[in-house]
Amino acid sequence: MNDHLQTVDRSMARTTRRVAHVVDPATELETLVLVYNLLAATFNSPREALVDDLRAGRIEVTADRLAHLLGSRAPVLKPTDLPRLEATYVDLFVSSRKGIAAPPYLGYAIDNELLGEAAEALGRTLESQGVGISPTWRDLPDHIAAVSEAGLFLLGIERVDASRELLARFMLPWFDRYAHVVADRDVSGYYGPLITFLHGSIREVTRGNGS
Amino acid sequence: MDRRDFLKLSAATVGAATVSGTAGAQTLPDWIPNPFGPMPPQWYDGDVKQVYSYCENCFWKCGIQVSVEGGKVRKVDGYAANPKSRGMLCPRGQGAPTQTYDPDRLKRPLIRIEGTERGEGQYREATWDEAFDYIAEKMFKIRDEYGTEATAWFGHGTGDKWFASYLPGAWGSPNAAKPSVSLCTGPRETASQYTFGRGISGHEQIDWAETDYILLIGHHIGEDTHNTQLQDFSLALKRGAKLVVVDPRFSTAAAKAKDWLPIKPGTDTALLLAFMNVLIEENLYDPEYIEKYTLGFEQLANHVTQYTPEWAAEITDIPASTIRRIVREMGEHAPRAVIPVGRHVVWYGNDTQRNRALYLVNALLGNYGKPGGYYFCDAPLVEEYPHPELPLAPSSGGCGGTTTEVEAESPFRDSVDRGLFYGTATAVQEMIPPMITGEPYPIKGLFSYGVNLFHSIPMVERTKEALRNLDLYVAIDVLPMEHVMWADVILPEATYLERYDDLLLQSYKEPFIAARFPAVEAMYDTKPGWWIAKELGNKLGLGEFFPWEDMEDYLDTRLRSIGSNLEEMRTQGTIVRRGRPYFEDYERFNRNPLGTPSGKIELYSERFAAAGHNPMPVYTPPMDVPEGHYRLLYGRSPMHTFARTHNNAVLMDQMSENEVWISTHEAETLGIHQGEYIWVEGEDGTREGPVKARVTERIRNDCIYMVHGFGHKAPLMRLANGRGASDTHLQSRYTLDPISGGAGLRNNFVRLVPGAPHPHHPPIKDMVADRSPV
Repeated sequence: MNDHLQTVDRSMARTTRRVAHVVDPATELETLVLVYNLLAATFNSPREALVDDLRAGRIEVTADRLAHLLGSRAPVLKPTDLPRLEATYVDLFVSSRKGIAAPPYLGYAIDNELLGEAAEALGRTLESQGVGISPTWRDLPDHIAAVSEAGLFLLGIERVDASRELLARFMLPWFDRYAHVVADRDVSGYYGPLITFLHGSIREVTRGNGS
Repeated sequence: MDRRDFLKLSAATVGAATVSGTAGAQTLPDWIPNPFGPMPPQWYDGDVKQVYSYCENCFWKCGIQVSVEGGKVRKVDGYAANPKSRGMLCPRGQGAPTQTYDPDRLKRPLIRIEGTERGEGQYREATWDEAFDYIAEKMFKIRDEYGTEATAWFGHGTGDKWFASYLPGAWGSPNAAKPSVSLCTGPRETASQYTFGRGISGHEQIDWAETDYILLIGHHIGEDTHNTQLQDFSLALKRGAKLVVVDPRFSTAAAKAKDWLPIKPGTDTALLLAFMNVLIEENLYDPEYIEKYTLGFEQLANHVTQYTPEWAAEITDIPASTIRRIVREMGEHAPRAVIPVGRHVVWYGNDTQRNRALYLVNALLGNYGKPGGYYFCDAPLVEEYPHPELPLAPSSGGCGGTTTEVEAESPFRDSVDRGLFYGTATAVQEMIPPMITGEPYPIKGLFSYGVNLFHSIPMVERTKEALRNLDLYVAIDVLPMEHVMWADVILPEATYLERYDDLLLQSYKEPFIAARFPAVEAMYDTKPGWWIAKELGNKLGLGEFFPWEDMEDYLDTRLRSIGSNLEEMRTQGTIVRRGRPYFEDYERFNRNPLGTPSGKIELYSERFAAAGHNPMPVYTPPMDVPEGHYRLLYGRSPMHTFARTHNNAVLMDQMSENEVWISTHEAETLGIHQGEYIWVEGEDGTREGPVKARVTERIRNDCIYMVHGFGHKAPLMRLANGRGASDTHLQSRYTLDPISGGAGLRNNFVRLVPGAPHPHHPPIKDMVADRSPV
């Protein structure tokens, strides 16, 4: 899969050309897809598939392509393995002896409440687009991984505005609050650079969204 | 490449199953579950669902009504029809929702990363199935090498039925234990069983509402707030009951008392013996009661002749004239005069005898089984769910649990603490050394369900050493306490607002049955204890012992044995039975509530004598306080329970740190000022703090006091971490009660060291507003 992404010339991502705001619909769609893909790859529990994607360079290619489209600098991801990814993921987002770094709940980042008003507002936003989080999902409905899936789903049905709104209203506050924390705490060389990159990317694609 | 391929890196990398929807739909169709539920702009009556349950934020287990709106618990109130709440709740009960929505909660099963050390805290996520497989593999290995007995099971809380009784019974380990026994109520239960032939029960069967005279010895009512007990106590005082408080510290209760007797710590038994001396010497007892209900009066009368008030005054620092006056007052009000037994009674190692002395004074007052004294209570009878007989019946006891039953002949080895003391209920602290020494046989596996190993069991470093030696350590809990993050496998339990639990069969003046219904879906990937036990049982090949389909089937079947059912309980919450609180309630039917071999209150215990113990209480002096040290006393606060509630924002906002009480005189000697932060140093050099000094006239010069449960060392519990001092970490020894196996904890001594830095903790409300990561 992802032949298209794999054939992207990585050198393109090294350009410093800055695209102030994506206006071409096809490009915007692609940009959002890339953002959501990286979000999902970052916030789902790491499994072998992620390591495969990393080994095959698919994560980097995706990030490079996104950087190219946004005119930003692609993250440099350190080689890593599954145990390290698993331990870091738990340490950052689940339970840590040092204290969890960044609760991955979008509502909480906004109003400091689990399943609070912000989470309800997110639910209403998704509901208005005909999207719900499956009951088989084993975490809170505003977990970033779940909402990333929702964003991808919206793009799949060409609800570009809605998916951008999701980023602007709900994702960006989380990254504003926690991206630097993750960057400071990460020992994997994966989560820190990627989340820093995603923070910049989301800020860029939502610029002018009035969030 | 089609659109789907374009959209996703790979199906496995992203969630792939998290979203449901329908392209082009403007609103959710019916078949798509909407996890957010209806979301009206504000509450109105029809939207608020009421769910019955019982509280777990302390172990009084008040009946509660949970208000749920929009799929979220909004409020918890006392349930008016429940005898243990009567529509009222303490702060801890009302703070329940905050625990459920605590972002620091455990969320998913975790397995320690291979190659890391216990305590290092490096984990990976696991599915429940994976976690159970991991545990089962290790359990079988331990069993094959050391036997089923080589796994110990500790439990505390409603679910401890499964983890400190049922599962170890099915698995075949007698090494199941509860801190609520040997670190709390064990001595009082043992003393009660050997004196009255029945236990005290989890709620202490004091007829507060009917009494006219209350004498408290080290009993911290109002601080260890138990809802209806405090209601009744308040009503008694309002009615004019007299109150005397014997305590080295001017406690909250002492503030309501007509007399405060600041006794020298550890000398309570001497005082009680002198009470008996005066009651008998001055004929203040009821001879008819003694004749009818007791055995061994003559021996007791002879025994206490030597224990005069003058003798006791030298020991206790309470003047002989005061002792006489107080006893005469009690005699005047008898049988409506009572000395209530306390809850945490493991003090100096002579605790069974001290509690027996307390019971004997009450017997001489003729109040046992009489209005205004101690009433009788039995738990309502509800049949068990039919299941094959367990191979073993562990003697882990519990609050009010029996301590004298002798196990039937068993193919399994005795518990590792057998022979260390006389009683048969296991002692949790005695399960630790075999993990280190392998004697009398090794303990290589440990389950800890809701037991805070580092905030309940003394000698914390010894416990850590034991954990390092294990082949398997599984922690089942709600919060990531320090000890939890040492486990090989962490199993996150749903909070009590999110789960069913077994029926509460409460012995009380009005016995009752209460049910716990889940108010909301369990958050994250957490599961109720009963489910964890059943699934783990299946993995361990013990499925035959868990024949119920689920908890609804289990509860419904049990309730049908009394002519009720689950749906009835869902609308009712509590079923109240008629009690038989006094002797006459039994005598009317020619029945005797006393379960001793003699059928009497045994003032003289033949069984103790036969076992080489004093058949009647004697005074054993406590250890002397070393020069430059203070005896470490500790107690409770109405805002917190054990070490469990210190990450609860609502409760921490009420009380966010403990203080060290030090007398004004001693503070001046040490140069300690009011509100200054100091260190508390144990005899082994352990330092706790910084903790605030409370300089007060309300405590004797030879001891210091602090509220238990603070001093968490768990950065992951952001509100609790680093606030105050832990008494448990300062307990470098315990004195084993040779009868009950209780661990006497008040022979620990500390130094106070001025000059600790001010910790400058941010206010809790600010931390809640911005729970910044550490």
